[in-house]
Order: sequence, then C-alpha cells, then structure tokens
Amino acid sequence: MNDLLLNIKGLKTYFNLTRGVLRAVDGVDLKVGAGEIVGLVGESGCGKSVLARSVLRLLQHPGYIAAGEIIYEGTDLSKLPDEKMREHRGKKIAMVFQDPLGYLNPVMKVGSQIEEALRIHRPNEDPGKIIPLLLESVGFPRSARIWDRYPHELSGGMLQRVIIALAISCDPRLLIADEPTTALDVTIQAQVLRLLKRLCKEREMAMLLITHNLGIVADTCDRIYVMYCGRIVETADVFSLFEKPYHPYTRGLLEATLSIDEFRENLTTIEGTVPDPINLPPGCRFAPRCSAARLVCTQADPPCLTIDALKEHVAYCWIGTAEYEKSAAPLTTAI
Amino acid sequence: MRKTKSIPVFILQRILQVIPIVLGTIFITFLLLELSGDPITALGGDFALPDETVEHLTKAYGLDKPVYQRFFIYISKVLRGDFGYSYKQGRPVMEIIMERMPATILLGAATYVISTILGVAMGVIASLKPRSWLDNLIVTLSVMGFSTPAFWFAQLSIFIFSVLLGWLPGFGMRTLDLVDTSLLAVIIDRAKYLILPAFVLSINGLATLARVTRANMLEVMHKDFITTARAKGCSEFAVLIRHKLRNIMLVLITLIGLRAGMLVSGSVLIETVFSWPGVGRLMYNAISSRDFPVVLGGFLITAGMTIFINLTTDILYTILDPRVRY
Repeated sequence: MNDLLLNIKGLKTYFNLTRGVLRAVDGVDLKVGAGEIVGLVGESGCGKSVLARSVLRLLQHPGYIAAGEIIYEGTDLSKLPDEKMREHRGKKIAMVFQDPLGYLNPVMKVGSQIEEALRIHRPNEDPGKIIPLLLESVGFPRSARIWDRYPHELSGGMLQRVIIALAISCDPRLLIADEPTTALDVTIQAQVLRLLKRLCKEREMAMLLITHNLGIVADTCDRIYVMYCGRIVETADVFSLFEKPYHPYTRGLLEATLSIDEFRENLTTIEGTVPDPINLPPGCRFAPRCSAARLVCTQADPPCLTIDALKEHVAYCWIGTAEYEKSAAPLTTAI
Repeated sequence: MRKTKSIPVFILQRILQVIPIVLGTIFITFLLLELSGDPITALGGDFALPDETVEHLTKAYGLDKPVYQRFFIYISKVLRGDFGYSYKQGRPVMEIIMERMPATILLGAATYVISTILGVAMGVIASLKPRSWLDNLIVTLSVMGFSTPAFWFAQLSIFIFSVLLGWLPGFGMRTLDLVDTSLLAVIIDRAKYLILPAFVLSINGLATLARVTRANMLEVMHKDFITTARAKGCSEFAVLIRHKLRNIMLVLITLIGLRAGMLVSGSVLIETVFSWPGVGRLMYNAISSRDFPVVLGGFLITAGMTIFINLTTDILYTILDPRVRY
C-alpha cells in the first residue's frame, strides 16, 4: 500500500432508537491508500452504507458517531466542525449512491446540479466550460446536451453516469461508491464499473466500493474488507481472499456466488438469518450461523489473526487458536 | 429519452381550456339566480308594487322572455363587453363593480402576502426542529386557526383591538376627514384600516399553509437527493432553499392557487363585518335585493379572477416542476 489516504480506527456509529441502541457500525478499522480501489462487502443491513455515510458525516438523526477516528490525510473528520467538514464534502471525498433517480433533485436540470457543486468548490472557474467536459468524461457526447436535461428524462444508467460526473466534478481524491450498480441492468452494471475504474486510474483517485456482489469486487478492487453485523470479519488483497478465504462467513459468501462454469441444482446459501442488530449475540456475531462454531465463539470477541502478513490478510476468528482447540464442545444452537 | 413539451404550447392549451369553464360559470350562476325568485318584487321591498308598474318593469328589463332566450342574450351582450344595468341603481354594472374593485384587490393582495409569507415561514420553522416546543406551538396555533370561523375572529379582533385597546379602526377603509393629505399619511391611514380585515381574512390560509408546509418539509428532508446535496458540500441554508423548498413549491403553489377562489367568497363575509367597501359587500347587498345584473357581473368578474389565478398557477407548475408538462 502506498500513502494512506483514509484511515478509520475503531469507528462506532450508533442509532439511538426507542427500542434500544442500534450498533450499525461497531468498532471498524479500515484503510484506503491513495489511488487504491478498496471493496467493502457484506449482506444488506450489515452497516456498509452507514460506514460510508459516517466518513462524510451524512448520518441522519438519530444516528451518530459514538467513538473512533476517521483520519483523512491527517485530519480527524469525526471531530471537525461542521463548517470545515463541508469543505471536505464533494471536494476531497465525493460519493456515488445506489438509486440514481432518487439521488438527483427532480426539479433541477442536471447541469445546474453539477454547477452547484462547482460554485462551492471551484468558484473561480467557468462552470459552462467544465460541465461539458465532465459529461464527456463519463461518456456523453457533447452534442447530447445532457446538462439541459431533467433527471426524469434520462435512463438509470445515464443518471448514474451523471451522478458520477457530479462526484468527480471537484477532483476528489477519494470516491465512496455505495452500491453504484445495484439499481442498474446487468449490461449497464459492467459499463458503470469500467467507467469508475477508468476514472480512478486517470485521476489517481482512490475508491471505496461498497457492494454485496462479490463478482464486482473480484473484477474491480485491489483489496477487500468483508463486513458482518457492524464489524469487519476479514480483509485481504483480492487474490488471497478469493484463493484462501479464512473466515467461515467469507467462505460462505464465496460458495454462494454463482459461476457460469458449473451447474447447480440448488443454490448455496448461508444458513440462518442476520441477528437483530439491537440484540446482537455475545462473542463472534457470526457464531449462531457458523457450522464450525464452538463454545468459545459465543463467549468472547474473536481475536485478530494474521493469515498472511505480506498480503495484509487478517481475519477476526477463533478458528485455529489454542482456545478454539480446547473448547471442543460444538454448540447446539438452533439455526 | 423523452423530450418535455415546450412551455408556450402548454400555456396555449391551458388558455383554450378556460373557455368552457367561463361558459359553465355563467350558465350555473344564471340558473341559480333564476331559481332565487322574482327581482321585480324585490325592488318594491316591503310594499307591493302596482300591477302596471310590475308589467312595465318586467318588459323593460326583458324578463318576459323565456329563460333560454335571456341566457343567450346575456352571453352575447357579455361577449360585447356589456354587463347590463343595475336594477336598483340604474347605472352600468361594470361601472359599479370597477368602483369597488380597488378595495377588494387591496384587501385580497394584502391577505395573500400575509398568509403566504407567514404561513410558509411558520411551516418551515416548525419543520426544522420537529417535536420541539416551537413546533408544538405552531401546530397548535394552526389547528386553532383553521378550525375557527373567520367571522368570529373578525368580531373578536374588532372587540380587542378597536373597542378595548383602541389601536386600530374597526370598520371602513379610510379616515374621511383626514387632515394631512400627503402620500405617506394616506398610506399609513389605509394601512391602519387594512391590518385587521387582512389579518383576519388570512388566518385560515395561513394556518393551512403552515400545516402543509411543515408536513411536506418533514417528508422532503428524508429524500435521497437531500443527502446528495449535503454530500457535494452545500450549506444547510442552500439545502433548505434550493432543494427542500424548491421541491415542495409545487404543493404550496397548488394550495395558494386554490385559495384564490376561497379568498373572494371569504371576503364577502369579512367585507361585510368590517364594512369594507369592496366587491364582496356589493355582492352581498346585490343578492339580498335580487339585483341580478350586479350579482351576475360580480360572479363573472370574481370567477374570471379565480380562473386567471389558477391558470397562472398551472403555468407556474411547469416552470417549477418540469415533470408536469405531459
């Protein structure tokens, strides 16, 4: 990894609900190097999007950052005053979202929406010159005059490209893409991913790509974080994760991925369901669904195991430790 | 890609749609008046008129002809700009109405401005901190505002502000023996007379607008594009004006446009209570004396104004929300 751009340490993002405290992100460490494409993978509701929003402090009430540091180029964003935080949004870190139509203002021309960002962060430049260039860089011919269009006049794939143009408009060094392809057709998905990858390369921009689709990650990312119930369970560079997944959850995810080369009668799934995020199980959060779980797994938080120091392959799991071997009694948790 | 229809085409279509609405308005008003009774008897008041006088007047006003004939005669006259003569005053209807128009427009405009600005402002303030004491206060006040009849507010305000406190005049539109006749003094004098009726007339609209603004603001602030706006570094003020308010404008404009009609009908009541010399009070008097040409003319003018405001509203939609131009 080259220069560290984003370094999240022990981040906890909680939501105070009437039912109790929802610990959406519960002690996450995550690093993104300059120009690096990092994938964050997990099921729906595991806290990926909350983590992404925490970085830009876009959480809505009652969500708040309870603890931890979000260090971006040496500045802790979590403690920055609102005024200073605004200077980071869009300019240093930009975001791309899941549902392209919902994330654009329906009553403003797309050009004006890009212009708004330019006026905030690049006030001395002429938006009329930059906007056509930006739209060209995401694949719209100048003759299409996309800036004159309203969001409802464009298709989902076009809108996502507009959102990407908006995101890169102020030359951010980090792009957070929160499930950028989930709402799109499969054919368009590949297009958008290629575009994101190309833009990262051209602009030496880093990207945190959030997805539940391992196929996307394999194709695009340099490094991967696997998240489960608000915690990172495993991280490694893309090759070692796919070759030697350590954590049972990662293995389950990989087994559940479909491949065109093999025929399957039944689809593979991970047994059980995600636990209630307000009443999380003690110990390893995956233990109730884990076929290899033993007593120790349900008693204490799993240790951090270095699988391969060179490739920064780390897993949070009891398997392979002395305690795990001693704790022979397999659990009879009903799934 | 769907190209949106251009604004001029849309406006032209809208204007063409106005024609049947105007004809329908005349037809219904004409029919209703016809059902209300004989205007000649009303002219006599408490005393019965001699038969020959009744016969003479009936002929003179053309009331001996069948209804459908009179309807078409009226329409053809209106199209030529002739609204007829008042039975009671013997003067052209247009003249009588135009005399009263400035007072009604003054009151209506003041009411519009007060209810729109205060209503939207109160709704926005309430929505900024939902469930706070300020929000609760505004919600409570607005429930009181739109559930209390305007004539009661009118009498209460006259009682408090002009009878008890003596701060503002309780009826009329201007001081008749004003000594200082400089422009500023006249404006201040008019404003004093305007405050009570305009405020009372605006309470209902203000309260409704505050409620609707609040509800829509609370809805729009959870929309995803608000997150996008914040993510690109917009200040909270820019988010409020350009993204939140801009998006609920459509609802607000609809409501404000709809109120145009209610304003006219509401002002009949308020103008009567405050002795405001406007079209509303003229209509009230004309109805009670069955002065058909004045009632018809008044209805036509106010209906025309309402239709015009609604047309403006529709055109404003298309500018504010491109999705409306289907």
